[in-house]
Amino acid sequence: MQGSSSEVFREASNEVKSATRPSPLEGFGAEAPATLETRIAAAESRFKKDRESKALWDITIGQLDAEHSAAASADVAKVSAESKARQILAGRQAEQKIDKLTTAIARGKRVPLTAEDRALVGSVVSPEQKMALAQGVLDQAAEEQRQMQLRAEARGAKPNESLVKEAGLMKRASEAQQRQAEVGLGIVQILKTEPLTIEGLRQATGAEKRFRRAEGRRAGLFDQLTVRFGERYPNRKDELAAARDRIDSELQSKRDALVIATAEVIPQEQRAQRAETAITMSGVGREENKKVLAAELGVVEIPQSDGSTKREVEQGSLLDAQITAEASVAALNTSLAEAIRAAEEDPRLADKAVQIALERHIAIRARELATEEIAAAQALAKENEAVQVAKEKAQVEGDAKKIARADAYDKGLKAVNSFLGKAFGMVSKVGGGLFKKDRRVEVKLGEERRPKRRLRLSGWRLNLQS
Amino acid sequence: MDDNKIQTKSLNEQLLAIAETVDAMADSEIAITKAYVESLKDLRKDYDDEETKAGGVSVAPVVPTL
Repeated sequence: MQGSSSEVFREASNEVKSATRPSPLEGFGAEAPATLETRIAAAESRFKKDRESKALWDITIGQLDAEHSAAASADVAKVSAESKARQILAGRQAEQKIDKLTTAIARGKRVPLTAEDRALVGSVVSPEQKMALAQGVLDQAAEEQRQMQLRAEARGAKPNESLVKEAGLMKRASEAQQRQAEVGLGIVQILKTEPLTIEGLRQATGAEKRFRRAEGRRAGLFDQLTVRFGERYPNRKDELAAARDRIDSELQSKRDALVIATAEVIPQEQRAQRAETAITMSGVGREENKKVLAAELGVVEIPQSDGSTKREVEQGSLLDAQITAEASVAALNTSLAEAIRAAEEDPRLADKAVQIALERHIAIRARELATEEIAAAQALAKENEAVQVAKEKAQVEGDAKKIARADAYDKGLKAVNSFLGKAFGMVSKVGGGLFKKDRRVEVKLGEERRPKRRLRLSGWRLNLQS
Repeated sequence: MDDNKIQTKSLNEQLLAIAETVDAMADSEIAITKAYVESLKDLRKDYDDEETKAGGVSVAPVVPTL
C-alpha cells in the first residue's frame, strides 16, 4: 500500500538531501556513494508511476536542479576571483620591479639582472627609452637648479639669508591686525548698545586702549618688515615707501571723512519763537514778571526802527545753551551713526567712533541740564508772581493774618532760593557749574599723540632719499 | 595735578574724563534743580492749605512743568 503523499515527499526529500551531502567515507576506499544522477534516476523511477506525487516530484527535482546550479556557479566564481587577484598582484609586482630597474639603469647604475628581470624589462630599456629616461633626469636637475635661482632672486640682496624671518614678521603683523579688527568690532558693539551710558563709554574707552596697543604692534611689525624689505630689495625702496604712504593716507582720508557734522544753525526767527514759548509756558501773567523771566532765560528785546521790539535769544544764555545743545545732539547722532557704519566696514576707525560717542554724551547731558534749569527758572518766576499777588491781595483786604501768611510765603521762597544758591555754590566749587549765564562747557583737549612710528618711518624714508 | 600724566592720555581718555566730570556735575545740578522745583511746589501747597483753612482762595495755579 502506498503511504500518504506527504510521507512520500518527505522520504524523497531526505533521499535527495543525503545525495547532495558528501559521504563521511569518501576518500577512505569505501564503496562510493550513489551519485546525484543515480539518486535522481532512482527517485524518478519510484515516483513516476505515482500520479498523485507527480507534481511534488517536479517541484523536488526543480529545487534540486537549482541548488546544484547555484553550487556549481559559486565554485566557478570563486576560482575566477582568486585567479584574477593573483593576476593583479603579479602585475603590480612586475610593475614595481620594472620601475626599480629602469630608474636604476637611467641613473647609470649597473644592475645585475636575472633572467626573469630581463624578461620583465627587456622591452623597456631600449636605447631610445634609456635616452628618454636620462633626459628626464637631466630635466629634473635643471628644474631644481631653476627653482634654486628663483629662491636666490627672491632673497634679493641677501641671497644666503632665507625669508623665514620676514614670513614670521608678516604672520605676527597679520595677527596683530586681526586682533585690532576684533577689538574694533567689539567697540562698535558697545557703541551700538541703547541707551549708551557713561559706563558703556568707559568700556569702549578701555577697549580702545587694547585697540591702540594692537595698532601699535601692527604698525611696529610693518615698520620692521618695510625696513627689512628695503634692505633686501634696495632698488624697490621707493616703491615700498609709496605703498606705505598710500595705506597711511587712505586710512587718514577715512578718518578725516568722519568729521562731526556741523550743528544746524537755528535761524533767529526760530530762536525768538522758542523764547516766546518758554515765557508763555511758564504761566507768568504780568508783563514786568515776563520781562524778568525773559532776562533770566537770555531773551533780549531789540527796539526796531518802526518803534516795535523784536525778541532775540542772547548768546551764552540758558535758552541759547538749550537750543545749541539740541542742535549739537542732532548733529552728533548723525555723525555717530555714520562712524559706527564706517567702523563696521573698517574697524581701524573704531577709536574715531568712540570720540564722537563721547562728545555726543557731553552734548546730551548739556541739553538735559539746560532744560532742567529753564524749568526751574520758569517755576521761580511763577512763584515770585504768586507771592506778589498774595501780598497785594492781603494788603487790599487789610487782613493782618493774611498779610502774615503772605509774608511767610515770601520768606519761605527766599529761603528756598538761598538754599539753591548754596547748593549750586557747592557744585560750583567742585566743577564750576555748567549753565549759568556765560558759563559754558569748554572742552579743551591736549594734542592727540601721534604714534612714534611716523617719525621712525619718515626718518627711514629720509635715509632712503639720502 | 600731574600735567605730565595728562599728556600721556589719549584723546579719547581725556574726553572720557571730561564726560565723567560733566556727567557727575549734571547729575548733581539736575538733582538740585529738581529738588528746588519740588520745594517751590511744597511751599505753594503749604500756603494754599493755610489759606483754605482760613477760608481764603489760592492765588495762582500750581507751578507748571514743561
